[in-house]
Amino acid sequence: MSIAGQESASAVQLPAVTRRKRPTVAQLFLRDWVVIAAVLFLILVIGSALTADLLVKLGVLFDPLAQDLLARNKPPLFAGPKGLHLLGTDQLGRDLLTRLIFGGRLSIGISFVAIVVSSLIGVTLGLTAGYRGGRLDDLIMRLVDIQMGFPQMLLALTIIYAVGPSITNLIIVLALTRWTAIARVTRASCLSLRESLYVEAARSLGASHLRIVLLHILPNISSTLLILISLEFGRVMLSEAGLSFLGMGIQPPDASWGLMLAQGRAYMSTAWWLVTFPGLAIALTTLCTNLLAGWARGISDPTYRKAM
Amino acid sequence: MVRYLAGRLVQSLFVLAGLTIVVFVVSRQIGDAARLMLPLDATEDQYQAMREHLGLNDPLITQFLHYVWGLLRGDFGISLWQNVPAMDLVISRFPATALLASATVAFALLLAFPIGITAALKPRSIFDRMSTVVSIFGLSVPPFWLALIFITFFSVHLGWFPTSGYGGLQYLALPMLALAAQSVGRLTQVVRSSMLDVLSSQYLTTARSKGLRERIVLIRHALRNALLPILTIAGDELIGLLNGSVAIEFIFGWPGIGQLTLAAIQQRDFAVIQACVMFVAVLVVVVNFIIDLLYAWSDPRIRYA
Repeated sequence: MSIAGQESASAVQLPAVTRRKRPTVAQLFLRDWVVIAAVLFLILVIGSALTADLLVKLGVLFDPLAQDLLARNKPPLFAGPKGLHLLGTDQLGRDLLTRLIFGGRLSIGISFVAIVVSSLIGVTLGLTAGYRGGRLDDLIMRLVDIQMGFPQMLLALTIIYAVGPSITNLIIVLALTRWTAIARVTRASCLSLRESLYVEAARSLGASHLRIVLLHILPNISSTLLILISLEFGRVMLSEAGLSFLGMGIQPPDASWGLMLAQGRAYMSTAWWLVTFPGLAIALTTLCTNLLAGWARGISDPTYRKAM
Repeated sequence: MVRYLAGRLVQSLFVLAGLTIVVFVVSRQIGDAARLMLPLDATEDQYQAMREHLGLNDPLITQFLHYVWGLLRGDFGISLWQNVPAMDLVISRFPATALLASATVAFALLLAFPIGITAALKPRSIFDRMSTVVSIFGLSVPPFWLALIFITFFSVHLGWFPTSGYGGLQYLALPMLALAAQSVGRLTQVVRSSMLDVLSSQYLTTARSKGLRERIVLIRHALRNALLPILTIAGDELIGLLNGSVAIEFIFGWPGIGQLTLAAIQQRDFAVIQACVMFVAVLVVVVNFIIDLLYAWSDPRIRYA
């Protein structure tokens, strides 16, 4: 760092930092209440999604498909004949909280599978391109460039309409639209490690290419990748919601957050909860993953961490 | 620089070629256009005649070559439903999309610059933390949800803006605000981080030690060098908005390309679908090329490489 930079930026902070013992990750975590809240919220959402069927059996939640046309569009805290509807009921008298949890199960599940698939494609191709270099690198990166030039959203809509909206097709389209960014970052990080001393050492000890890539390079770029992947997860969630909202994603009677928004739209002025809660669910879930990713980026960067 | 730009241009051609193939294959999967256009009680003869008329009986490769030949001549086919050239339809929708996208990016930049710079000048201050959380929130909120909330609140309850339609500034406001949340979030973060990078550089100290006023140092020396990454992301935002505002156009009845595509998909009007996607793709290529030019123009290292 420049002398001048220290002078202007850290004249006050420097002594304080050196006096303090460097905090561990756990300590940093507990210090940041925003991150704690984010993690708790994600645990709540994922936990309820995973145990949704059990909760219905136990009678905590309602049957997600059971209609009650006498109790249509009832506001939050409505006490119906079958119990208390905490977030009200929807246009067919179904319990909104229940639908929200089942919708979350599909929305999160689909986005999760899609991001796993696109990470597998992106990381594999990125590592191949970065490690092998040469012709193969050119080919893969050209492919990435070409796809990045596509109008993604219009193409996704078109493809899904062509092959028919189903969960599998939705996952495939979402996975195929997001692998490029992951491949690019993987390649760039792999390139910088390929010539590093410890990779050289492993190579001279006779390690196979596969071993070098999987055991020496991949672990060292994994934190960068994990952060990128969680940011991408947020984008996939929003794309899924968008496609479902436009009727090209999850089909009724299944619930997903985007679809619930689309269905609630007609009752927007009389039943605000139908639109408000699914939207909040999407926004908060994406927000929490993004916050977590941002926090993790801060932690994994030593210069930033020291100052946290 | 010429070589650099030529390389980018060749790459753009690859993009368009790849896209042509993908779109062609996909749109032939959509369904039987002849069946859709005829009334339900049409005879088999009429159906076959219609297929023949539309060229649907030719082998796929013939159809494709025919299509590419048409593209090269600027002919994107006739809309099956409106019986006018598909590209004319798309072009007639372009101003609305362009207006919405550019207004959104301009508005986002207008907010992102002051917020991002203020945050970068005092990193880890309350303002900085707040702006980070707010911009991450903007990034996380689905724009179409925001649009619905805005309509309920500003149009239905307060009656400030019309709920949908196309026209003057009052029609533009809500769709623009709904779309801008994401752009503001992303751009603020970029302004902040690129300013932070520049602020710790030595030439700023030099500028200060020359006795320049702080305002001059910040604007002439810091901001100018921080501009490149901001420009890139702003271009990306514009591209994203040009092809990604389908849901917003749909909600607000905004007569843009996104709405046209959605309608074309529902009517299985594949000439229009192809024209929309190809038009936006060309638009993306053009915007990217302009960004490359600006890049080369503002950075001597690229210009002379």
